Amino acid sequence: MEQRDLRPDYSAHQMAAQNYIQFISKIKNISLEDANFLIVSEASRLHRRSFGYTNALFGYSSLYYSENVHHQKDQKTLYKHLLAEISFREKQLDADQNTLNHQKSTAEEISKKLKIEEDFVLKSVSDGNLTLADAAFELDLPDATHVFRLMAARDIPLYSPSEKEICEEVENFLAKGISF
Amino acid sequence: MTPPPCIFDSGPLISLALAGELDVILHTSIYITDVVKMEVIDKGLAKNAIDAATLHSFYTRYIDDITVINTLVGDEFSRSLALGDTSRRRKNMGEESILEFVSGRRSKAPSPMIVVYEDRWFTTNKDKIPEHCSLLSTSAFLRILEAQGKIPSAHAIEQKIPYGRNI
Repeated sequence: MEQRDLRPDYSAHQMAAQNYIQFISKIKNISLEDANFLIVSEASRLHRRSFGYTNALFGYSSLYYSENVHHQKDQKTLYKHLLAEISFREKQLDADQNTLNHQKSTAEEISKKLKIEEDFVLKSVSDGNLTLADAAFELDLPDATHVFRLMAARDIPLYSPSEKEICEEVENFLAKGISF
Repeated sequence: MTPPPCIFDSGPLISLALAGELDVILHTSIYITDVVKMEVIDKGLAKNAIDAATLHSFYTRYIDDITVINTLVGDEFSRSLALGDTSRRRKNMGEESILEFVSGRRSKAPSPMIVVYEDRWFTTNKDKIPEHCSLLSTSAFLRILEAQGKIPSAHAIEQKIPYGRNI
């Protein structure tokens, strides 16, 4: 046996109500929400007269309004959540900034100390008390060329024996009569 | 007459490599200790090692003309490198390895040998160097080569050393 849906069919009314809301919104130049609110207020006033159309309009608009309210509530919840999230992130950013500042100042201190140590190593090379190979090792550089470059960049002169010492070496060697 | 061993410290090798004049040492009987080889030649395989790459290339080209001396200091150095323990690396290990070699020869029939150096360590430790061993700074070495007619001009080579290094 065929079952009939005995619920009233308001689809035509809903369509009409929707059109009506859009119409009011357009002519009053207000938002759909405001037009809906206006109609609901009017429908409430007319409800007592029990016009079928008004009743349906009221039903639909109430439903629309109710959904809208739920939507607004959701939006408010989301808004609060976002505010909380922003606040949390801002605090986190502050904390990160503090950590970053601390790390920067630590790095600067280390850099200063390293530069002092580096200067000491280069000075030792300049004084002839440290070999280039040892300096490269101490400064963790690939090889002596890099030590050369550092010294040149800082105008630190390289060690050289005096002209007198060189001449003595040459004379002593030649006096021994040794040949390569 | 057999030419005397000419033992090169790392400094002269680096300077001459930078000047592009390493060939001048071919006029001598070239000796290097294992430590010097590790310090300035073996590093040539590493990235960004410029002078070491030149020295490494020179070494492979003239490997038959270069005598590498094994020393106890070198054994210690290579053991620490193998263990990755760089803290055991001491300063002046290259110089100490050369000293070990020249001192070890003292008890045997002393024959002349030459050490070509560049840093002050050898001059401040002169008393430890046996008499049969002549110390030559790179400048003196080049001037003697010139005096013996092996190279046309020591000064010209010195001028080629980068950054105005006066050796």
